[in-house]
Amino acid sequence: MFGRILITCWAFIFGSVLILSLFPRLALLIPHPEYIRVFLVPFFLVSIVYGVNRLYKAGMKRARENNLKE
Amino acid sequence: MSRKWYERIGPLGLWNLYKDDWLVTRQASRLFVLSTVIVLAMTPIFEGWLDPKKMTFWTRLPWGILGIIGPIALFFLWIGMWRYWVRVDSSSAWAKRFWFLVLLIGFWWGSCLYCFSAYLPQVLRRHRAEA
Repeated sequence: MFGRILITCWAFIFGSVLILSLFPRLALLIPHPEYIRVFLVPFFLVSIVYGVNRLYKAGMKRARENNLKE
Repeated sequence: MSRKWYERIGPLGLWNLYKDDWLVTRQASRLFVLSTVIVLAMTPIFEGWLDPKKMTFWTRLPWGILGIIGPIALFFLWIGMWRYWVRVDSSSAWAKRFWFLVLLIGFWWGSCLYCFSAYLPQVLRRHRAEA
């Protein structure tokens, strides 16, 4: 579920970048643009940590399965 | 196997380009070894030990070609080794934990180490067993 939220947020971010590059004047409608950076840095870090954690869990699950087979 | 739309784009798309069966083939192992050599040859460029301004055209040319091929080899090796660790690696849990840290902290150089120390021995063992 959390992974889906992250993917949706990234899709929203990239979608916004695309729309703003086509219609730059829309950026004036963003209420507090200075907060975007405050949001983006932790969001990027959370995404990385989530991805690494997911990789670790998937890899270790396979290790345990292999060990049980042995 | 049908994938969701978001599994075909971005980092997940690259990740899913590798097939588990293909990772253990001879062709894959040869390509990974070649990538390892290219990545190691790229180290002087990454570390900034080279000054292209002082080089002649013919000395600069191979470095330029390496600069084009290098990043492709780097991502091919890096993602490939992560994929192998997650999906195929049959080591014990502690060995896998160790290699996880090596891959995480060592970036592409960690992938080179993993390729020579874990991936290749396992793939060669598998091929010998099949033969």
